[in-house]
Amino acid sequence: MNRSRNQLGLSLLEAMLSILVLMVGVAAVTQLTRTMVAAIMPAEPSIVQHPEIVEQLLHDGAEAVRASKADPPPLTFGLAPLTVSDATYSVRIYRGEVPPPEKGFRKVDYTVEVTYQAVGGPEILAGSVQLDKVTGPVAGGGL
Amino acid sequence: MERRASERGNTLLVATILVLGMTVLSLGAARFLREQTSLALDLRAAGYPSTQALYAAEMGVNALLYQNNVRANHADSPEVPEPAQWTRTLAYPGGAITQQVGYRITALGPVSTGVFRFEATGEVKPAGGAMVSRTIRFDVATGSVWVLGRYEQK
Repeated sequence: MNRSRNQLGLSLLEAMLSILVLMVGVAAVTQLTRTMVAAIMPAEPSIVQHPEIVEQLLHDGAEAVRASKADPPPLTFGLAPLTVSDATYSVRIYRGEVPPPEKGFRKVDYTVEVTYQAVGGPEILAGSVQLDKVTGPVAGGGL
Repeated sequence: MERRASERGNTLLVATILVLGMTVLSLGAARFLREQTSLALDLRAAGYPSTQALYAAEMGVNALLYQNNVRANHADSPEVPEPAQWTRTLAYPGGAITQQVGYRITALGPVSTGVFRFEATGEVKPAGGAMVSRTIRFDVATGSVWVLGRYEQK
C-alpha cells in the first residue's frame, strides 16, 4: 500500500506519534530537572519574603526604642521573634556609643534589624533602619 | 526517495537528544533569569527607604531639640540645625544596598508666644533608585527647656 511520506521519510501517523512521545518526554525531563536542580542546588532564600511583616517589625523595634525611659539606654528590648508557618522573623536592636549626658540630655544612635530564617535555612538580613533617641530631664525633650 | 528504517531511527534519536538538550538549557536559563529578577526586586525593596526616611526625619527633630537644649544659653528662638547626610551600606545576601540618608529642617516661624513651628524632611536615595522623602511638621515650645509640642507626619 502506498503511503504519503514527508521529506524525513515519516508517515503522518509516525510524525504525530513522534511529536507526542517528544512532548511527553519533555514534560518528564522538565519535572526531573526541577527535582534534580532543587535537590542539588537549593534556591537562595529570598531576602524579602513578606515585606509587610518586615516593615511592621522594623516599626515595632523602633517603637520599643522610643518607649524605653531608661537612661542610660538599654542594650536589649526583649522583643520576641515572630514565627510563621515556614519561617521565623527576629528583631535585633544595636545601640551605638553612649555619650555622657549634656545638661541632662543624651542622644544615642540605634539600628533596628529584622532577620528572616526559613525552616532549616540560614538566618539572613531582611531589613534595617537607623534612628536615634534623646533622653533628658523632661518629657518631650526628644523622641 | 524513501528512507530506510535505520535512517528514520537516527533522525528521531538526534531530534530527541536535541529537544532534551534544548529543554535543559532553557530550564537553566529560565531559572537563572527568575533568580536574578527576584534578587533585583528583593534588593530594591529590602532597603525600606520610606521607613528609613521617616526615622531620618525624626532624627532631624531630635537634632533640633538636642542642639537647642544643650546650648550654653537658652535662646529666645530655637536654632535650625545644619542639614545632615550620611551613607549607609546594608549587606544583604546576594548584594549590598547603599543609601544616602539625610535630614533637613525648615523653620516655618512662630505659631504663638514661645512656640515655633518647623518641618523636618528625611530623605533616602538608594543607589540607582529614586529619592524617597518623608516630612514631619512639628512645634517646639519653650520653658526651662525646649520641648516637643504638636507632631504630625505629612
